[in-house]
Amino acid sequence: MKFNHIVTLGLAAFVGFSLPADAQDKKIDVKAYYVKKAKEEGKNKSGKLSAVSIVSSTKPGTFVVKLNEDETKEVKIKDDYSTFYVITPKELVEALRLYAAEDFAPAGKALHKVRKQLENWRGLPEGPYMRAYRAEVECAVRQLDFAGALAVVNEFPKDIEKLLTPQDKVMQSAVKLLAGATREGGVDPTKIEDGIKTVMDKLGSAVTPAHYGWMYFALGAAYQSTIPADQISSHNIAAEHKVNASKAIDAFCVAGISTHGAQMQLPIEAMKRAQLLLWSMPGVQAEVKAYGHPTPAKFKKQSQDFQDAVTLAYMLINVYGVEAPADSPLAKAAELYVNTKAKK
Amino acid sequence: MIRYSTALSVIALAAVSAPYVCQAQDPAGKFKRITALQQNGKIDEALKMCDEMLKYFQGKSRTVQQYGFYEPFFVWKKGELLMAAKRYDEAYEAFRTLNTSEKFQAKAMRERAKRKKLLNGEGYDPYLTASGYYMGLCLYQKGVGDPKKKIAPDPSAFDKAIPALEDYLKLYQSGKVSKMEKALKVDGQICFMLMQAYILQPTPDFKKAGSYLEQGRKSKSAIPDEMAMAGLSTVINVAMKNPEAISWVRDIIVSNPQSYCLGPVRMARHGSSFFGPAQSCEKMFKAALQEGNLKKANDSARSAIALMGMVPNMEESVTALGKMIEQIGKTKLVVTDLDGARYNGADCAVVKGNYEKMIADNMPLDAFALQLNSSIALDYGCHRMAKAGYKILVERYPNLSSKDKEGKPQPLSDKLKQGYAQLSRTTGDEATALVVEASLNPDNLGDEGALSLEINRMVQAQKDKRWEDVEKFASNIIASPVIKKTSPNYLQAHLSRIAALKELKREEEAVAAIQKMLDDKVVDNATEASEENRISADRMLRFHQCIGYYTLMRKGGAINSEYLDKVQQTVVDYENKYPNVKEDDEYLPSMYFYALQSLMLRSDKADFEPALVLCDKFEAKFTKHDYYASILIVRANINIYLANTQKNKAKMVPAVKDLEKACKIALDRPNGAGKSTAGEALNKLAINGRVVQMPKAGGDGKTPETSEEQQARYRGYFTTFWEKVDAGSETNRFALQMCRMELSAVKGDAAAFDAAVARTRSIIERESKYAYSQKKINPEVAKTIASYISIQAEVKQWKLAEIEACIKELEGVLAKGDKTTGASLALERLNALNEAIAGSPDDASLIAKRDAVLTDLSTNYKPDELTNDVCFTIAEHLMKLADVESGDAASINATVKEAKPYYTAAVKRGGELVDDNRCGLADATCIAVVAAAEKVWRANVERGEAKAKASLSDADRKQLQDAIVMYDEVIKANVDFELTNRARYGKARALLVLGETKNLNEVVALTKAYLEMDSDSDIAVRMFCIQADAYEQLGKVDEAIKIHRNLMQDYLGSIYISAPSCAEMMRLLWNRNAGQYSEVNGKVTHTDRWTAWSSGNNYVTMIQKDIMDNEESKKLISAAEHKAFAVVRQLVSKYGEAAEVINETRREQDDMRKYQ
Repeated sequence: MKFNHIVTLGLAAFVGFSLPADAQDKKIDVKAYYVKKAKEEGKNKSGKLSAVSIVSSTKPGTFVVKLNEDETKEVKIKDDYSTFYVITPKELVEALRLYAAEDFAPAGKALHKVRKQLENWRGLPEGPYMRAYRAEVECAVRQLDFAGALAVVNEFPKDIEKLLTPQDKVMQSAVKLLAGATREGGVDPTKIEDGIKTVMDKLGSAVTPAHYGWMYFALGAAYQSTIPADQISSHNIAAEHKVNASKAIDAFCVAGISTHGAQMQLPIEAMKRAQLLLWSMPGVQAEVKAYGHPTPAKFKKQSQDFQDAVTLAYMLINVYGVEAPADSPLAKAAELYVNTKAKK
Repeated sequence: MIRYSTALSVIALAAVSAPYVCQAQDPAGKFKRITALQQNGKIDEALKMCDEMLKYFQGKSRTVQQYGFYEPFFVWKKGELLMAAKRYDEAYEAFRTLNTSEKFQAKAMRERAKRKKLLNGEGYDPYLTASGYYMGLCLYQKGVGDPKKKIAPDPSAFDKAIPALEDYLKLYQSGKVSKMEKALKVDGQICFMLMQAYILQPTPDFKKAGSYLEQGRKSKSAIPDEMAMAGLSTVINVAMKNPEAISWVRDIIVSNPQSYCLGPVRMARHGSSFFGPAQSCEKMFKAALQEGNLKKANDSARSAIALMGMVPNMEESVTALGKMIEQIGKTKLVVTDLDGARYNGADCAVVKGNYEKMIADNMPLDAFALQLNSSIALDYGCHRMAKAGYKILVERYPNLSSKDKEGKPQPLSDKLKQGYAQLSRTTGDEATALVVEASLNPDNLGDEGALSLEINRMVQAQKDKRWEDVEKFASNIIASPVIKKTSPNYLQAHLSRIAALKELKREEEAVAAIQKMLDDKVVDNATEASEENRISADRMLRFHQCIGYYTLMRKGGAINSEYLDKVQQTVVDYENKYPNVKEDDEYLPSMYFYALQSLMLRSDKADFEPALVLCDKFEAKFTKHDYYASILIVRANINIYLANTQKNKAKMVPAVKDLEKACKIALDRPNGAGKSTAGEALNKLAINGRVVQMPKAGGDGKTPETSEEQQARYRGYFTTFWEKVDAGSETNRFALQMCRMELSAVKGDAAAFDAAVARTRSIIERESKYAYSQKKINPEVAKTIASYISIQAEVKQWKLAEIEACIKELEGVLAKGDKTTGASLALERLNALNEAIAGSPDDASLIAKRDAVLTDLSTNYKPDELTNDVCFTIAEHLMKLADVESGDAASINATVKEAKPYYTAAVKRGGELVDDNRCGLADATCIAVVAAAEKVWRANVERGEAKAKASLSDADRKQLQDAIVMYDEVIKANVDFELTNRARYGKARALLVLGETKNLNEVVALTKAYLEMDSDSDIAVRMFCIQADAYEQLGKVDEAIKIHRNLMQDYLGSIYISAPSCAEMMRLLWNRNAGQYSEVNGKVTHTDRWTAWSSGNNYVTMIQKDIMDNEESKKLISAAEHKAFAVVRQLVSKYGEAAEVINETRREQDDMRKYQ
């Protein structure tokens, strides 16, 4: 018995059950703890957990167990079990550990690999396939790889769609909006608006803050795509684009604040985009030129776009830990910040 | 609850599974018995047994020697038990014993113990080094304490804990530990503990702590949930007391994502407890901002946001907990996954229940976390981010509540909406702000919130020009119990209310409010507003006070002198308060302008002097102001008036100069802004500049211009007007009058005349079409058409045919359907035909044509098809046709009957010119009765008899009374000064005809009131006559005589006034017949009758000599005047033939002779 399984061992000992030894082959071992329902309880009066190895599960909510060398049996989870918890296979544990540690690039690769390995167990509700799937999508989005996230979503097996929770469906819709809004050539913002409305109407209560932020990021990107890129890169958005630029800023800010401080990769990107647009709004650069030495009185007199551009830049660097070279527009904007709340 | 999880506790747990064997003489059995007691929580018993065994191993017996290798197992167990009993120092000693005792290190002992795997399937070998870790661990636990079990931390314990843990970490990192220990991967945990220990020790060493945090992060070993969360709590506690370390909170979370981002189920157990610390961090942030300590603010904000990131979304957690319960059930069975997560269904159910309650109470923590995020963004000054947070709160948490001090739920939605609306507004999204504000209930906002809402609403209403609302909101703000009188908002509310009252035409209230503001020193008290803003507000107030009084002064038609004086006073006050105004002063030039206008409107000659002073003051400082040209025009008007009335031609020269200058300044204004003013100046120049001889241009100022130069200058006004003012205009209010004047001016210059004619035609076309397009009547069109025809007829000696051709030509250019101008042309045709008929009274074809025109007018221009204006024009025209002088009541009534439907249609319809038509209708209603009475009185006068009281039928009386009612309505409406006067005249006349003392007294009062305002217009003369008639009927003949004598003397040259008054005076004197002839020392007193004859005789002689016998003057005398003069002459000869007059004349001659 290896000591590095001490935790598992403790539990196994507690329930009077010894886990089978790790299979030497590369095949993933998928096991579940279970308590059978009343009809079996005569045999298991203690109500204690047992563990079982699962041969496969390709139909939603059912799985196949091995009775002996030659015989297998298909079991329906809901009918037969009061407890049925599928243990996270160690390969998935490792991949999830990388993801949790925010090592997204290796995590993404590992999750992809393990998800493929788990396809044969895809029918288990809240099982390892679903966990790998969700993590892989989120991993891609948190790396801002929206096309990659969409590819994962598109790979989702049709035969287990009934296992998707409302939250999964929101996630899939949000990924589609994200990928659609950020693809080359842009997209009509009203389509994203409609998309968000559809999701909120149908699945509103299942929309998590993170997914809400994804959808608004998509909306921001869609509005941003209506503005010529050179106008943004040269910080000089024409007046005719002011309305859409403002809508893009608002949407990005919603994405920026939606998770109230959690999973900050996408929110920070959203805030950076909002800041860049604010910095490029009509008239702001003229204000920057005429601004001179920052003082609270002067700062308060500037347009709100100017104040927001400067404050957001300052917050990105000093609160959200965004690194910006001294000569970058972000750093320059942040330099103009003045604390107007200080009481002399 | 799951207990604090360490390798130790897990090991202890595992031991339960060992088969229960206990024999007193068997140490292994004893060990298992102790472990079982330990497992059942009987720590003291277990310890007692453990101590007994350790005492036993101190013995020297053989048995002891034989079983001696069991001793380290019991030492270890003692350490475990003491730790469980929180006797950390003793536990430390126990582990130290194991760690350092040479006895236990002995190879033989270790070899023997290998076979006895009592410690979780291991011998004690690995525990020899592991005990080093436990030495540190137990003192670390003593150091941090256990808040849940109310065990206070004892930071002094870190003195020993730190070296123990550091020694072990070194051992561990150099690989000098057992396989079992390596597999545990505890280096990350040890770093985490050391990091905490350095922070928590009596003198925190953040540098050391930082290095361990960094080492731990690199190890990437997950820290057990409980330890991670408890560790974070301890750091938060320290950081709250040591704000310089506040950034540590965030650093720990961000450096260990794998420990702090655990997914919704695991975070549900811990995350909610970080909301409180997040709030504290946010408070620290706010305070730091106010202190001006940005670094501290940033650190606090970072930590606050990191903590809020750990607050789970409650809906999401409830769903995830539900799924977990579905899988593992609601029992206390613990499921431990390979990833280290431990799940307990019962715990999940408890947390889920708590969360569901918070959601049901509308107090989910995630919403408040969002709100704190928004609040931080807002305090930094980023409205967009704050707005985004409010948007999510308003849309996703519509029923959010908080608890007040008494624990009662307080709905937050309105406050959040208000914040959202405000931020939408500041970030340029007014539309959203309006929609959100419309759904607000101020009752839920509290006093401050309600005030803030009212301020926003007021500002918005003002932008939208919803003045009723502005007045309402501003009044609410002023009356708010929480508004500070020193605040700029309080001042603004007053200013906005005044602006609203002005717009609502509630000037009395506006000026009262301004006065109260000045009296209450509202501006001075608004000390939070900048001095610049206060001065600006004070100046503006004084300006509005001036405008307010000016408006009140004009209200109601007549000029209210009380307000006029107040207008002047506001200017004086302003000048006194701001003696050094600059030339770009925003208000004083306008105040001068209105003060001047008010003086001019009163038309009192006494006002001219102060008016000229105002003009000069204006000129001294504000020659660059837009009003300067208008000021020059006013000054010119005064001088023109003085030139005309004082017969002081010299005053015309500066007037013309001012007008020319005004024209030039106005034309120099950019974008044609001064065109209208230039037009006015040129119009005045065209009216007045013809006969003035100006100094020669460029000369010494004394040499006059030649008549050619004079003419060229005069014509230049027209050229300038057409080229610089009128060209390209859609319409110009002076164009038609300029046409008429130009036609008249260039009559003698054929080429210029033709050009003027062509221009006039095109201007008539333009202006008639413009008026038609605006559905308005421009009386100037009709006047110009009349001039256009009559001047051409005069110059070109037109006959009827040419006139008709001209009219036809004009008809050709009319807008289709323009009945107004059509009617004017029809009237012109009628006039031409009437004139032709006068020349050839028997020409039946002409008469037929004229009748056709009349038929056309009465058939094709039906009242209901015409605007009120045209109705009025036609009706007035028809009324003029009534022969009130000589026609009988029936014939007058016949004409009036045609006019009445036009008036009636307009009066019924209401709207434009309704009062003009009503006044006309009143005239039409009573004119026949009045004319009949006047005819009788004229006959009385001609016969030298007293004016008899008119004999009236009931029908006549009713007509007069109906007319008086209508006149009263017109007077009450008072829409136009002239119209009101016309009604006053009509009423006075009707009352006079009605007779009776009461009515006659009213006539006297009415005429007196009128004559105080106006004493020299045509109506005024008629009012004098009416007054005199009333006096006569009241028996106050002296007053009547006085009036007529004055009229005769004042209007001597105007025979149509002086002759009838002379006749009246003669008649009244003759009939009074008072006085006796007397002569004393050559001074003669005559009788009335002699005076009547004598006055008339003098008048006749004078008029005969100066006017009637003067060929030029004679031409100007109308037929009516001849007739009136003849009446006087007749009376003179009649009275002159009377014996009493002849005798008195003789007697006087006799008496005088004695003095010769």
